[in-house]
Amino acid sequence: MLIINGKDESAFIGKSVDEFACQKGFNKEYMAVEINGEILPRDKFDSKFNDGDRVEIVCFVGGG
Amino acid sequence: MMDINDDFLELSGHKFSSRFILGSGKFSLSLLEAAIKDAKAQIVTLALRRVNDGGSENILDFIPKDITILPNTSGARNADEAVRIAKLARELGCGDFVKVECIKDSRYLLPDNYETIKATEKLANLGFVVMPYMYPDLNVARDLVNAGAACVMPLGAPIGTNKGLATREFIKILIDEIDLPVIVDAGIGSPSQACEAMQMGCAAVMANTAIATSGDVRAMAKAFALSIEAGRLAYLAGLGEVSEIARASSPLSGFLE
Repeated sequence: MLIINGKDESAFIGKSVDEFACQKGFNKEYMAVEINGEILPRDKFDSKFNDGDRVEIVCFVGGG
Repeated sequence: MMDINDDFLELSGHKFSSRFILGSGKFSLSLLEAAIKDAKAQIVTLALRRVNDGGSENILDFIPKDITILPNTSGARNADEAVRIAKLARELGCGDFVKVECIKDSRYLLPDNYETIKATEKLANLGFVVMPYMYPDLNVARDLVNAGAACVMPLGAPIGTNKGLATREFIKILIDEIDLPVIVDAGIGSPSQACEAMQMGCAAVMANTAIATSGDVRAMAKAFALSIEAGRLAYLAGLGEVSEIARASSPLSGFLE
């Protein structure tokens, strides 16, 4: 299973962060990615998701 | 005469001529850029959240490039979560500033000072410019100084309440005893309250809800900018003494007979 932002995204096992962002319509410039508790550097967004990964993809929003 | 143009807010060596930190929550994105301009803000806070499906529009597109982004760690319930959020925020490439928020209580959103100190120490060691949101306690403020904070950010009243300087007397103690900038954060609901904070000697004021939920966002942003500048100028000028009895302003001699 692959969990991205709390959802089962197992269809993306073996696909890269780039591919995920592209398909979901996310702008990579504004994303930070954490895989299994470790930050994924921006120049590694071609890394592939593995079965069992837990991923958080975050961006800035308004806040005080 | 005091020249406010030579007066800077300094945070870990970074200088700002504006003493108004604007929160970006609750704004429509279309109004945010104008509000920043009207507020004359140079520091704007942001939060970090999971990306939403299809959300290609990003708040950074609505913030001028010369603005210093101050990510907060809202959502963190303890030091470790705050550090995690801060690292993710820094990965987004908007610099080393971070506003630490460690909050467990969901009704009053009061900061957990103990976790805030721990987070501040860890983040300062990682090279962040740490601006901790705190409950105004002198001992905690001293611990935050020792932990490497760039300032302390005591709350005036609970977040988003617009109740003003409910903690006035304790903020005053921090101003008197702490060498770092004291920036009042949370609860400031009106320009007069912001002005009072500045007159007391706060180094800056942070506000969000008061502007974002006002009837005219741009006018209120400007009103805050003016009041903060007025309060600062009054503080630098030095307020006159308060007296229990009247002291005549006009000469008490030479009356007409």
